Amino acid sequence: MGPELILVLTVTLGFSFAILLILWIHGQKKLYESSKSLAYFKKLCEELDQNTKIIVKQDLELTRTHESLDKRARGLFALHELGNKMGSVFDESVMAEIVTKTLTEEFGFDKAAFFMRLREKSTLFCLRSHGIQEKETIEKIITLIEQSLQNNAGGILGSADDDRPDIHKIASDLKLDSFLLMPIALKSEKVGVILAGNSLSHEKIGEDERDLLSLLADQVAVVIDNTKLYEQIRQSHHLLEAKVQERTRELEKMNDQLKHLSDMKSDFVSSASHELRTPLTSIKGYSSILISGKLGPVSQEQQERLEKIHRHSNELVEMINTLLDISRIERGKTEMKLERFSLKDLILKVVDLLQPQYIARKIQSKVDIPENMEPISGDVAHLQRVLINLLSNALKYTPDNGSGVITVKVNPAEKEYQISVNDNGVGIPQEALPKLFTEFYRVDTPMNQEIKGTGLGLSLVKKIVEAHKGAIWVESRVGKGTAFYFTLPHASSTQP
Amino acid sequence: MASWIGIGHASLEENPKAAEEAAMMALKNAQLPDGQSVNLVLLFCSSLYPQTKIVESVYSTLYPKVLVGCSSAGEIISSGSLKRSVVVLLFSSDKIEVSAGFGESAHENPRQAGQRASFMAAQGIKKERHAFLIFPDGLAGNGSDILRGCQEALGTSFPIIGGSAADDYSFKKTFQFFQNKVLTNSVVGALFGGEVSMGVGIRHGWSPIGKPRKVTKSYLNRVDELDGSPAANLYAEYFGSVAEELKQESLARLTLAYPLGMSIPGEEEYLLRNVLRVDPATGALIYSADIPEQSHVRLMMSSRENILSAARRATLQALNGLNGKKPLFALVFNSVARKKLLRFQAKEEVQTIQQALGESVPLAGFYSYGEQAPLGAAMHRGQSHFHNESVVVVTVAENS
Repeated sequence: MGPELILVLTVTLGFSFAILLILWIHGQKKLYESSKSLAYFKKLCEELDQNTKIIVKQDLELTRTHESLDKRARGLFALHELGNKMGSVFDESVMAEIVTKTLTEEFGFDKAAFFMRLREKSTLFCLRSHGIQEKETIEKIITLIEQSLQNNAGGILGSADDDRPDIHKIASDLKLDSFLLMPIALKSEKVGVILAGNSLSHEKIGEDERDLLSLLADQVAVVIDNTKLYEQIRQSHHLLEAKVQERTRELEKMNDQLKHLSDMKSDFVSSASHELRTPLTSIKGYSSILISGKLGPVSQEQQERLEKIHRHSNELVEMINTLLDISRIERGKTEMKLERFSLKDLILKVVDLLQPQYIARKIQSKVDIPENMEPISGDVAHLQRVLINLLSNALKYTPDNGSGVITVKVNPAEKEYQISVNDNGVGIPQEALPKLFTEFYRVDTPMNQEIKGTGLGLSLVKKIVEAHKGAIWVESRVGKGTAFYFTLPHASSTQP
Repeated sequence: MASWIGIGHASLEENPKAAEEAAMMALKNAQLPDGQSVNLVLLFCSSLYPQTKIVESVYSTLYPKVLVGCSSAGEIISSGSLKRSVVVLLFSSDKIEVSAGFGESAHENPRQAGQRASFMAAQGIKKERHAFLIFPDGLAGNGSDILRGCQEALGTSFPIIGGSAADDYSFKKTFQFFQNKVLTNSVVGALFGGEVSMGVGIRHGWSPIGKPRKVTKSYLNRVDELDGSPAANLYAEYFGSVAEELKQESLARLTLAYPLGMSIPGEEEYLLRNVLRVDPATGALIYSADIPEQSHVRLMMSSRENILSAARRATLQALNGLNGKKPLFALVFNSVARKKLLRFQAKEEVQTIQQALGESVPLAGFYSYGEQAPLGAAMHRGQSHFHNESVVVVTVAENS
């Protein structure tokens, strides 16, 4: 081995060493740099983790708020739904079912029960429960509930580890971890209690639930109140209906009696009139024989008395005939002999018939009848009596000083004719009008004392008009005059 | 049509005949012809009512070849979620084979219970096996271990889908149904085979937030320490004074909204774990399934929108698995935690699923204490995991 070789080796070694040294230094530098960046990343990671803690805390807060809000919103929504459902409920057990179902299904409680007093001051009764299997247990805790709510209107929030022995017992008997008792108050009277509970400790019931249940209890109270009112109204309605029915029956009975009485009266009048007519006929006959002088001479004075007897007998016969007519029409024994005729002709005939009286009393007669009147269907003889009666009345009560006017007018309407007889005479007092068509009624005025009348005319007129399916009424003012109106259907509407 | 499907339900509240009513309703809806036997009945019901009577009523009304099911924390049908009810799904097909199995002592030996149930069910299927529907006890036993037992019998990547039995939030005792028997502390399951296609979708909707934490001390589903300090401190650290005022009981509730997430290599979503109990003495957290030591976990956060959209995505994923075939029916195994968090929107979640499925697809399910499904379910052959706070949608179709 030559010195050159040694030198070469040494140099080579030296170089290698130097290169290694350079590499080592470089590596150290790299290592230093990467450990620096590692430390940086570690620091970054820690910083990010700190941020994470803030985020997680915020998230937890948010979650809890969200849960609480969710619970409330959900509860309010359920309350609203419940309100809608209960709006049409008037039955307490249906309401109890809706309430307990809503509490378990919508509010998410494990168990729920609805207690109510069925009568005032009676003990509570469990109308409905959900999620509670032990029915006997519920009965047992009712007294406990009553006791614990004695001085508490805002409800009780209880739990299994409660210090109050009653509350603790309710929780353990119903296997509940936490529960709420909410009284239902109606005018400060506790009418019922709502119970809602959860069996698990991590679903503790809190103030959120108490608020919701308190709202629910208010709502339920309103429904109970409505139910009670509804029941009262229903009962009084029933009572009223029963009363109306009873009264109707009574009235019907009375009506029957009246009808019977009226029939009896008509029968009596009819038979009495018949009985009266026979002796009257002989009085009339004999008086006229006496007047004729066939049975011997009659003195002037006797003649006068006999004529009076004769005249009054005639009036009596007429009166009896009218009475008979009225009772016959009333009982339907007299049939109207319906025939088609011209009303205009009839009116003109009657007015003509009474013309002498018009002239005697200086009363002006007016007739207002439209042209082209349809014929009507009716009993000519009876309708003639109607017109004669009304016109004679008008003549009687119209002044004879030349200012009197009597108007007969016909107003055609769609299905009938309205006939009016109008005078400008003394008139009839208002209070007398309703009784005007009753039998034997005569208006009580000094003037009437002098004017003769039976009080049967208008009654007969009314009967005849009604037998023609028409109506009759009167309008009058004292000192101004009187108007009688009656209607007669057209021929076409009276025929079937 | 060579298959019949009918779903019936009835409220158990004050109705001793509810089970029969639900069974008769399912039968009526299925329009099963005379002489056609019932292949499968799934039964989900509230734990608050006598279980034996319910199971026997349904079994003796329908006489199915296979009846499996479990107690629940709320039942699911098309119109939404139910409470204190019984839901009966009746299925009959000439082309599809179903076989059931059960394994007991899930608490003492979860792996063996899973294995036994799977093995027993596998005996009854001669054709190609497709998926195993399981209902393990949601309180007894480590959910992950039960699943491992099933996988030992059926294969690591065999689809195992299901929901853990629940008991209406009482967290005391759950029930599993096998034929006309009521079991507890057990696993029951129904294996599907033959001309059947099944689609599975699972989603939760949570996303990781904050820095990863290392599990420094844990044993199975008990996590003692995270990053070297008591596990419960994690929540105290994040929630600060709020956590202080929340007592132990509420902490479990808090973790419903903020569970832990474990990332699985190659999967889109994290596996969620929520706390069953807190050990106040040591600050250890007891989860409903494994959290292995040395694994990394993250705090998870979500919003209602994300939770609801997860249900839709799970449904679409389940429909995808059928390759365009129309589902005969669909099942939902939904976490109680989701029901709790969504509260009144729980109904909306079910409606979201029904809408995504199509209105005419019959739907039944229940709220569970844990969910089982493969994560990469779109590929259909991924490994099944135990989940929390997730919604599983299963679609079943007949091969044409």
